[in-house]
Amino acid sequence: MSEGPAIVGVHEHPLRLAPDYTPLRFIGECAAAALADAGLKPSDVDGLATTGEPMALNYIAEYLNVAPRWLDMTGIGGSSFLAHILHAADAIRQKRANVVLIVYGSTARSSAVALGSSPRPEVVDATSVSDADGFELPYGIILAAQYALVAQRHMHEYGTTREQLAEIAVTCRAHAAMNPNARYRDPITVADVIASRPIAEPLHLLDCCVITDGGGAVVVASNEVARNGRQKPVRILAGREALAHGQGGHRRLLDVAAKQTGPGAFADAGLRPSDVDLAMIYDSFTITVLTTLEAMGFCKPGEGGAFVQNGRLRLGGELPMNLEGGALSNNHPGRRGIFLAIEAAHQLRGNAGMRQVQDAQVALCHGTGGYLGGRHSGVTLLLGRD
Amino acid sequence: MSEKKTTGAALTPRPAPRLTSQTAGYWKAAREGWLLLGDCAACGKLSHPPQTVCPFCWTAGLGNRKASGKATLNSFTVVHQSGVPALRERLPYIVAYVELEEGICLLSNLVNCPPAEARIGMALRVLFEAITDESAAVLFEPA
Repeated sequence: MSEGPAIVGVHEHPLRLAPDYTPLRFIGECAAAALADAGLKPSDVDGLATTGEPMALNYIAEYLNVAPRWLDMTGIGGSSFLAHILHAADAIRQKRANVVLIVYGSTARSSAVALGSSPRPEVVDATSVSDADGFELPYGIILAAQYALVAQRHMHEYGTTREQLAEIAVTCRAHAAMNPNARYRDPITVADVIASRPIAEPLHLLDCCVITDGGGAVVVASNEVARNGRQKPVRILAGREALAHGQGGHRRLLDVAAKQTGPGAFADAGLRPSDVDLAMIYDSFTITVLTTLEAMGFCKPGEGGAFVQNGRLRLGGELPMNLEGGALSNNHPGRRGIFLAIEAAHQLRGNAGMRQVQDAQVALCHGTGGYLGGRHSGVTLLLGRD
Repeated sequence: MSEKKTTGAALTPRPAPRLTSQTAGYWKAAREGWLLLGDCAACGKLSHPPQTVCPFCWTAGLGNRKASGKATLNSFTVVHQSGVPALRERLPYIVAYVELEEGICLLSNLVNCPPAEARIGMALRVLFEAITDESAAVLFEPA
C-alpha cells in the first residue's frame, strides 16, 4: 500500500459563479494551486489529462506551457476524471510518466447550460457516432428522465420511497453547511425535497444536482515524488471502469455500470465494503447514489432505501458520504468526478476541517457519467492513506 | 396498426430523426404504421435500434421483422420541464421504457394516458405520429 502511485496535490476552485471566467482560466488557477499544494513546479509535470471537446488537451497544454509525454483524454462523462487517475497510476507504474496533472474547468452556470432538462446535444458531423440520438430526441428524452426511469423502476421493484431518495439530498445539504464554498448551504428537510417542483417524476428539483461554474485539479505522482512531497500521500489502492448501455434492446434498467466495477475494485484492493471509512459518490440525482450504494455492496440490491436512512450517510454515521455537499449542494459544472477525488484526498490527509471523518483510512469514490437509464459509464476508485 | 394522430393538429411536429442508410428504413416503416425490429438470420436474436451489424454476433446484413405492437410498461417518468421545444408543447409528457412482447425494450412516450393512471406492468399497444413524409414517432398507449 505504501509503495504505489499517489495523489500528491489537489485543488477545488472556490468560485461557483464566475461570469468573467473561461474554462481555461479555471484550469490555469487550479493547476497552479494543485502544484503548489504538492510542492511541485510546472516543469515537473510530464503527464496531462482532461476531458472535454476534441483536442481540448492540445489547448490546455499550450495554455499551461507544458510538454507532457503521457496523455489521457478519456471522455466518458462526469466519471472521466476518476478514470484518468486510474490510468495515470498505471502509466506511472510503467514508468511512462512521473507527475500527471489532471485538470477541469467549466462555466456551465454562466453559460446557462440547462444540463438536466436537455437531451444529449445533437452533435452531428462527419465523425459523429451518435446515430442513436434519433431514437431519443423525438420523444423528449431529457437527461433527468433517463435517471427518473431508473428511480421509478427501483421504487416499483423494491418499494423504495421518495422520502428515502430525499434523505440523500438532505444529507448532502447538511454537509454543505460545513463547506463555505458550497452553492447551497441552508438546511433542507425531506418535506422540502418532496414539495419541490417536479422535473421528471419521481425526481423533483431537490433530487437534482445544482449547476455551477467551477474547476479542479489533481496531481498523481510516483512513490518517489510522493514520499518527498509536501502532503501525506493518498494512495491509489485499486479501481475499475465500465460502460452500460442499451444492449441492443435487452438492457434491464437496474443493471447500472457500477455493478461491473465495485466488486472488482474491492477484490483488487483486498478490501471489503465494511473497510470503507467514507464514500464520495457521484450524486447527479438522488437515485444515482442509491443504485451506487447497492452496486458497491454496502447493502443488498433493493435495500438502498432503508440503508440511506437514520443518518447512516451523515458525518458521524456508519458511512459518511459526500462531505463537501456533493453535486446536490456543493457544485456541479457538468462533470464533477474530479471533486470526488479532491474531497477524498482532504479526508485521508486529515485536513478536511470541521467536516473531517475521524481517522479516515479508506475512501471509496464512484463516478457515474452519462445517462443512468441508457448509455453511461461507471468508475470506482479506492483510495487510502499510509 | 393504422397511423393515428395522438394530439391536436396544432402541435409543432416532433424533432425529426436524422435519416441514415441504417435508419431510414425503420423510420419509413413507422410512417407506414409498422415497428421494425432487427432480426439476425445468423444468431436468431432480435435487436433495437436498427443497425447493419447484429449487436450480438456482429454478422453484417442484419434483417428486420415487424413487431406485433403489443408491449408492457417497464418504467416511466412524467416530464414537467423540457429543453426540446416541440415537446414543451406536450408538457407534462410521459417518457416510457417499453418492453415489447418480443422481449425488446425501447424508449418512447406513453400517450392517451393521464399521468396518474400510468402503472408499471400495464398493457400497451403501439401507435404512430407522423413527423415528416419519411418518418413517424413510434408511440404507445394503454391497450
